[in-house]
Order: sequence, then structure tokens, then C-alpha cells
Amino acid sequence: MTDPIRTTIGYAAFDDNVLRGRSVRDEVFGEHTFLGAFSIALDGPVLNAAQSRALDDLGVACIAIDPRIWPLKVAWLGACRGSPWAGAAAITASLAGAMVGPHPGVHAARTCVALREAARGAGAPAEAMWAWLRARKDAGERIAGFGVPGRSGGRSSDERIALIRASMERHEVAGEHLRLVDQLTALLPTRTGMRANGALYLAAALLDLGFAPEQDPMVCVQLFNLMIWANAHESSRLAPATLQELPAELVTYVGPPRRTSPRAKR
Amino acid sequence: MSGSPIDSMPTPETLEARVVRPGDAKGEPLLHGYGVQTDLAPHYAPSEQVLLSLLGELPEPVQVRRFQVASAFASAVSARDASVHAAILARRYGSATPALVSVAAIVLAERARDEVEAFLELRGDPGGEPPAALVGVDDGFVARLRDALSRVEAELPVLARAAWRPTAALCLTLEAVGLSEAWQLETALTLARLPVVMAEAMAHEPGDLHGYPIRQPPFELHDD
Repeated sequence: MTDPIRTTIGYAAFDDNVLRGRSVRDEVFGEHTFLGAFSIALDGPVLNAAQSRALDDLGVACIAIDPRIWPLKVAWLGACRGSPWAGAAAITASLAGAMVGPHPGVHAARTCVALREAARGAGAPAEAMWAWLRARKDAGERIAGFGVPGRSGGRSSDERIALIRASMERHEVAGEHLRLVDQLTALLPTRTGMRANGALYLAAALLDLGFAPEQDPMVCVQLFNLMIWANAHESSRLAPATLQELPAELVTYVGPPRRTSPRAKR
Repeated sequence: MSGSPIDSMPTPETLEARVVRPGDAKGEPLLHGYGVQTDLAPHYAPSEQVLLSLLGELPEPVQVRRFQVASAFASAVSARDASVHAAILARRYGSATPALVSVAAIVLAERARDEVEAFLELRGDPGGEPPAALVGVDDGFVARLRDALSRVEAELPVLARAAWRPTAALCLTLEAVGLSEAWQLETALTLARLPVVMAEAMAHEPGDLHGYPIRQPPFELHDD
């Protein structure tokens, strides 16, 4: 007898579907938004209306759809011969372990939790959090949630931060993590060149909504699906020849020079 | 849990395996009936096992020689190709090794699908006039392919009938091996190229995004 796999994710019922113990027809449809249902499916928090709207706003706040953004270029490369499925599959597969995109979100969330612990009970929370950050920086650790890609090109700060904060504030669901990250961010320019990025703010927002750190990447990839599928679709539609094969002048070979194998010498 | 229609669907209780008999404590795995460990491993090269997998029968020596030459010619995908470009880029932003294998396989499979689809749609009557869409100016690829096949005594007369485009010549050679269905051709091409893509990707440093030419190829980004 084979041991069954135990899960509460849901199942196909008669004339209905069940999602984490809830009837889709009677308890989810009309009661929860799509992202609220996604949270339930993930075994995450059951979001109220304001929290669901905030999560939707977070998805819009995070829109960064430039096809040149590194993982989005992979979507274009996968789809450039006509299949959006291959493009979406390629970028999604590539996100495992990546230092950009949703994967680092769990680490950014853990940074937020650590900052919260550092601030707890401190008379000056911002200073306590800075002390925690500085100790790790001095130890040579790479701390998730800091660093703004594109600074060398003139991107002075992560433009998504203001919208992420607004997403939470306009629905009055901003909480402890977001407030603490704000306090630290205000202090940073007086102490260091380090800057918080959107991943830290998004992680703080998701923690405030009740998600666990380990759920951060899954929520992020759901929010990022807009960028993933739009870029995959666009590349499949245009099928750009220069992505199918880069022009020769755009590739510089720096590998070994020509050599002859022993068998060819005979 | 209340009832589910899935519980009542009339389906078998076991998954049918038709090519590989799983190995277990009682015995080794079989591939199309042949013992993988006691029969194939000591007597046959990896390329012969690949052909057995794809064809269902052990290949003749001339099939093996043609397959090896065609696979070598197919294998050399460079950073110009979307598959290699994608794998390099993913490596540079830190994708884990299994993710790189996936990216490489996905994009390689797309290229193979595209190549094989065009070949099978256009090839027409094997004995007739070569289709115009499959011939073109030979940059030396087909001449070198014919030379390599000649050196291993596996010449293919059809290659001399026209100035075939490289992909068409490759597919014709693989077809002569017995790989005539789309899935067989696509699998052979993808398999030949996968290790090369991985080698190129892994030769790049993870985390070095500033070493990637982000503006190539150029995009023209309009508001409308």
C-alpha cells in the first residue's frame, strides 16, 4: 500500500472546487479578490478587503517592465522563436537561486525580521537597527534588501519604494515592519552610502500583511507575472531575429586559441 | 473531504512504463529490453545508447558514425544563439545550476522545434527537386560535413544533390540515421547542444551583472 501525500491545498469536488477547505463557489467567489484567494491558496494570511486592495496596489507599484531588465531579457530570449510559453518558462526557471527577482525576497524578509528584533525594546530603534546593519556589513556579509541596481547609470534610488509605501498607507494597513524600515532608511544617508531597495520595502509590506518570510518569493512571482507574461508575449509576437541570433559584431570571443587534437594530428 | 469526481474516474491504478523497466533490488533497469548495466554499458558507447533510446533498436555502425558526426556539427552553439545568451545571462544573475540546465533546455528545445518544423514542412519529396527554401549559399558548413562523413566512411549522397542550408543538411543526416519523426530530431539536436550551452554559461561569473552588455541587442522603446 503506497503512503498518500497529505495536503490541504484543495480538490475538485462535484459542481464545485475546494480551496484550502473553502468552497470556491460559496466561500471564495465574491468574498475574496484574486490575490486574496492566492494568499489562501499559498496557505498565507486570510486578507481583509483593505489588505487585498493593498496587495493589488503592491503589484502595480512593482511594475518594472523594461525588456532590458536582466531576467525579462531571458523571457525575450526564450520566446523569440514564437512561443510565449517557452519565454515564461525560461524566466521562471531562471529565478531559482537568482540574486534578482523574487528569490531574494525571503532573505529581504529575514532582514526585516532581524531589524525588528534589533529594534525591539531599544530606546532609539533606528540607531539599534543601524548598529545591527553595520556589524554585518563590517563582517563582510551581503545583506539582502540594500543596494540599488542601476545606480551607475544614474538611478539614484529605487523608484518603487514610494509606491510600495503608498500602497500600504492608502489602505491603512502599513504596520511595524514598514515603519521600522522607514526609520532606518531616514537614518542611512547620514551614516553610509547604503540604500534600501524595493525588495526590502516589499518584504516589509508583505510581513505587515501577515505573510511568512518563506512565502515572500511566491507572492512576488505572482505579482511579477504581469512583467513575465507581457514580455514573453511581446517577444513571441515580434520574434526578433537579433535575439534568435546575436549579430556577429556583438560577440567577442575570449576563449582558447585554435589547437589540434592528438587524433587529428595522426 | 467531501467526494471528488477524480475519485470515480475509471483510470488504471498503475502508470504504464513502456521503454525502461525500472531497476530495483531484483534486477537492473532495462532499456528497450536490454540490460543497461550488464549489456549496454560494457559493449556500447553513449551515442549508441542514445540511438537505441530514440529508435527502439540498436543502430548499425554506419548509423552511429553519421549520428556522431551530425551531433558534433550540431553541438557548436555559440553566445550568438538565444539559448547560450539566456544561459549566460541567467548565470550572471545567479541562477542555480539546475535552473541553468532548465533555461538551456527550454531555449534549445525551441530552436530545435523551429528548425525541425521548417525542415519537415519544406522538405517535400525526398527524391525530388530540393526545395528552394532549404538551399542557399554554403559558407563551408556542408562541405565540411560531407568531408567529415567521408572520413568515417558514412557518406550521404543526398548532401551532394544541392547547396543545402546547414540546418537542412543536419536534419537530412539525422534523418538518414533513422531519426525521421519531429520528436526524435528535436531531442537529438537539443541533446547535442546542451553540454556546450552549460559549459559556456558556467564559464561566466555569477553576480557579475556589470559585465553583461545590457543594451545589446538594441531595443527601440516607444511610448506608442
